[in-house]
Amino acid sequence: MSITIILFILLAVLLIGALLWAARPIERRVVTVDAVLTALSEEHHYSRLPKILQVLQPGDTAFLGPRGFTALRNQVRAERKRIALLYLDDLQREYEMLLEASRVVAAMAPELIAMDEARRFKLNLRFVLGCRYLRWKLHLGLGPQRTFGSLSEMSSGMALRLEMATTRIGERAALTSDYSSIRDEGGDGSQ
Amino acid sequence: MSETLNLRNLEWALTTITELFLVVYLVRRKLLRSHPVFSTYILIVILQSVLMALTYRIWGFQSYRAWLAFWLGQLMVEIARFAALAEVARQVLSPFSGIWALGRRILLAVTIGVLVYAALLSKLSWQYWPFNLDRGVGLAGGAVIVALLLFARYYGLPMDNLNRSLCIGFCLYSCFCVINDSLLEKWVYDYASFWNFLGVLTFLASLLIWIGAVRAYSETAPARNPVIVPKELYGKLSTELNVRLRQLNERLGHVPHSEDQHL
Repeated sequence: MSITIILFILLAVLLIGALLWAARPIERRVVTVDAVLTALSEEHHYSRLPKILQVLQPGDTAFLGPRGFTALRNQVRAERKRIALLYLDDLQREYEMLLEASRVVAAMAPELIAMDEARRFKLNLRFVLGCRYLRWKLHLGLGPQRTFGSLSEMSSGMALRLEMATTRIGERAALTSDYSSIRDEGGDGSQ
Repeated sequence: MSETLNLRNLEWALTTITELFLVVYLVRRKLLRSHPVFSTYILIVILQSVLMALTYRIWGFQSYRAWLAFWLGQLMVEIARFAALAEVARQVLSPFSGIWALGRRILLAVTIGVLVYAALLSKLSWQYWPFNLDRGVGLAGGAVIVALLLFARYYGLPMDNLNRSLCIGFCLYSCFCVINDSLLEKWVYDYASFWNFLGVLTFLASLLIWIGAVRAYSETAPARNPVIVPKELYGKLSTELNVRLRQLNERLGHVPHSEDQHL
């Protein structure tokens, strides 16, 4: 059998696989415009970050080993891992909210900026892969320690560019007028 | 030989009856208005079956005229199928004008890309061109449907069960056509009658999926059109969202590069 035939058959089989995945009903999450604006203007998990980072300092457990508190050290490390995973959960939740918000905005737009959409798609891929990679590392006990220190530095400079917030608040009236949930419109078996 | 012919005739008769059932359901559910192109496609398929039955009766299975009639009819069916696909894509995406504008360009690019890919990989000999065309269109159709479903999924767009079933039916049939045509190219002589049998069988499966969806279809209150925001506002929000997403990505991105200790 030639390579061409194999390629065609392989592609067709791949398409069937992709079809089965893509044709699953979409889990609908109701996202209101208010939620979109909140997602843009609030810093959900950042406020808690300094405390988390304090707990994650490497020096906190370094002295426990030589003093014979190995069990305690292990327990503390396990707790740290749990905290790191919780932090990742938070980060992911916020990311998903922003992504959902971007979809709501896209659904309302008269014309999409293709570059913006492509960039967002790429960012999404990067984030999903990065998040999985980190989770995997943390579960295997290979979790990074200093990383959270660098996160701390970033958190201090985490003044997000919200100069548009005022404008958005002004525009909120226009936004919230009708489409409290864009996802609810046009669906549910209606034509 | 006569047993094969009987089986084929039986299969054709069964498929035509199923197609007629589908038309009846389309009429009863008043879907001729909402899905005119799909309805036309089914009517063209029925017409092709009738014409081919007459052609084979007059000129026989092995004649050049029958071969030519079959492939000309097939060309019409392929065009109608693609038009029906475009109709489904429009129904799913067009309520969201921005997404529709981007989506149709992407779907067009996918179609052209796959057709060019199929043409480059296909044999150049004239006797293969109908298979090549059939296979190329099948592959392009399948790719377009998958791209449409992925696109709708990415943006979380609502898709009713009927349109989803139409997509599944079209895609399954298109993909099996690609597999069938590829196998036929390899074993062109020994495989011909089996190819016909499988081709009709997969179409029958698609018809049953569509009938199921059309039967279950119930007309509900028309959806309100989504509200459209000014382009400038979308631009602002979109940029802001991308900045925030990039910042979160950067935060995550710092993690793998700076580890040096284990937890």
